Amino acid sequence: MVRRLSRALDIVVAPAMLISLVLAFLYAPDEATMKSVYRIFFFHVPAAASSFVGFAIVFVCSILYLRTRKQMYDLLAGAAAEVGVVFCAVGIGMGMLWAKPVWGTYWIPGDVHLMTTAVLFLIYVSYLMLRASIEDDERRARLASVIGIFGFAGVPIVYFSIRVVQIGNHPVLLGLEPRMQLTFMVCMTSMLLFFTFILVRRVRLELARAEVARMRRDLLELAYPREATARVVAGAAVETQWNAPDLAPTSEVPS
Amino acid sequence: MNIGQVHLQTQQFLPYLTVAYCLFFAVIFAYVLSLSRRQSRLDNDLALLRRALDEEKRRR
Amino acid sequence: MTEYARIVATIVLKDVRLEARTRQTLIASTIFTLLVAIIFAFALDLAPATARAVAPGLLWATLAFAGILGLGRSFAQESDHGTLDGLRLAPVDPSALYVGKMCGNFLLMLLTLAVALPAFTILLGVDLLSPGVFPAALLGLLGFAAAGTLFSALSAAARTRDVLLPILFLPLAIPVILTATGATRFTLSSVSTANALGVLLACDALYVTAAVLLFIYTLEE
Repeated sequence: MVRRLSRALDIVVAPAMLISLVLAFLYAPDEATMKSVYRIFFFHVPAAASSFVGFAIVFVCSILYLRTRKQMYDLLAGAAAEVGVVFCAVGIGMGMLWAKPVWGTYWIPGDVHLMTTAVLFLIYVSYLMLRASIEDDERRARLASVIGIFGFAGVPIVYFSIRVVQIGNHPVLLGLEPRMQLTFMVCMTSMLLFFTFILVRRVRLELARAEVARMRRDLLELAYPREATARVVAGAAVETQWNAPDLAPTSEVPS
Repeated sequence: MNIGQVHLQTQQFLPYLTVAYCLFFAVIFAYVLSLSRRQSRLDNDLALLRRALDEEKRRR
Repeated sequence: MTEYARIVATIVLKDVRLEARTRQTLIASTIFTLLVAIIFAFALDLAPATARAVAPGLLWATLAFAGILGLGRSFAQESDHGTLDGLRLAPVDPSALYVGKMCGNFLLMLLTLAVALPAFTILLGVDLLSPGVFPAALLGLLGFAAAGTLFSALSAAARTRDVLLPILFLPLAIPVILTATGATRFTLSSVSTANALGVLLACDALYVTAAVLLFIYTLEE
């Protein structure tokens, strides 16, 4: 089922993105004050929104991992974080390029949406760095899950703290013309599909990595079988002469 | 569907628009490229390991 | 005193006694704070009006960085000396361990604050010693301690722990810094701090709750 959905996705994504581009540039009319430049928002907002979806996936998978300890959830979390960070970076970049002609500067520290997105970006970059710095699979999954949960929970607080302290003026496009609305819907949908498409590829990469690790372990098992190791350990135990009878080594090889 | 007028005026706005979209596609393209490179490296490793495993199994 | 409170007190006293012996971290934090205050005073050369505008931000940036100094050693020390295993195996509620550590870190941050406030007041010429500043300061440092202790436990397990702690901690310290700075600024310009303090309180509540719930996962081995 998953494979069929994935196949369907592969086919649909490119045309969807193409249609979005056509609509964004040719179909949607010029905006009153921002003329052509506002068209950036057709990709900028969906990109940022997709990254938020990705971060939400990290949050959910982190919780699920801590409850079930299934490696698959951690796999998905790591992949979603990476793709989410990429889309978030692109979203912020496009946002800055929209800000410069409209507001005059690339960045306004007081703006709620900008700052929240930036902080979210930083949180998940730090999440990825944590993942990169721990070798052991189980420990990495466990600790990354802690950050995945804590980081996401902090986001509403970031939003409100900026609201309380400063007044922002993110250009909210109110009263979108129906043509703009349609274009936006299409762009949002295709961006989400695109995000999923890339996420699937990233997860596949992660699965391949897990497979490689597993085969490497199997190979080591074959080349240096555990029986030999266990016999050495048992032999060493005999040498040290355990006193407690129930700790005495048995001749059986532990399976 | 009513295709609106194509606005190709050379205002100062246009460079920002084009750069923004090019940025989007450039970054995503670069990322997908890096993904496929990592994937092929892993596939090579997998093939190598599979061969090594088969050899070990045959030896025992 | 309840069992829980007794355990928390034991851990805090242990850390305090340990610190009192060498005073290493305290001195490092104090000197760091002073140096940063001096550098800001000289490098920025502020006119009085500008100084009033930026002083809260400078203060809280300094407190954040000085806090990282102290937080870093919180769990790293335990893990290095092997006492972490002892704490793990102790038949106590692990959240008590977290609360104890957090209180210890909070105390250290309070001592840093005691140095920072006079330093900034004198060097920048801004009256930060007014009573209105204290609620924001206390709540803000509590937020730092809450998140920082959890991240200290987390990064102690990683290879690049010294670099990782600031990277993990600072993004989530941003709301604390923002609201505390805002509240301090509002106090200086006699604007109501109620909203800012409210958000700060909510932030602390969230951080402490989340950390208490998640801490046990950092202890497993």
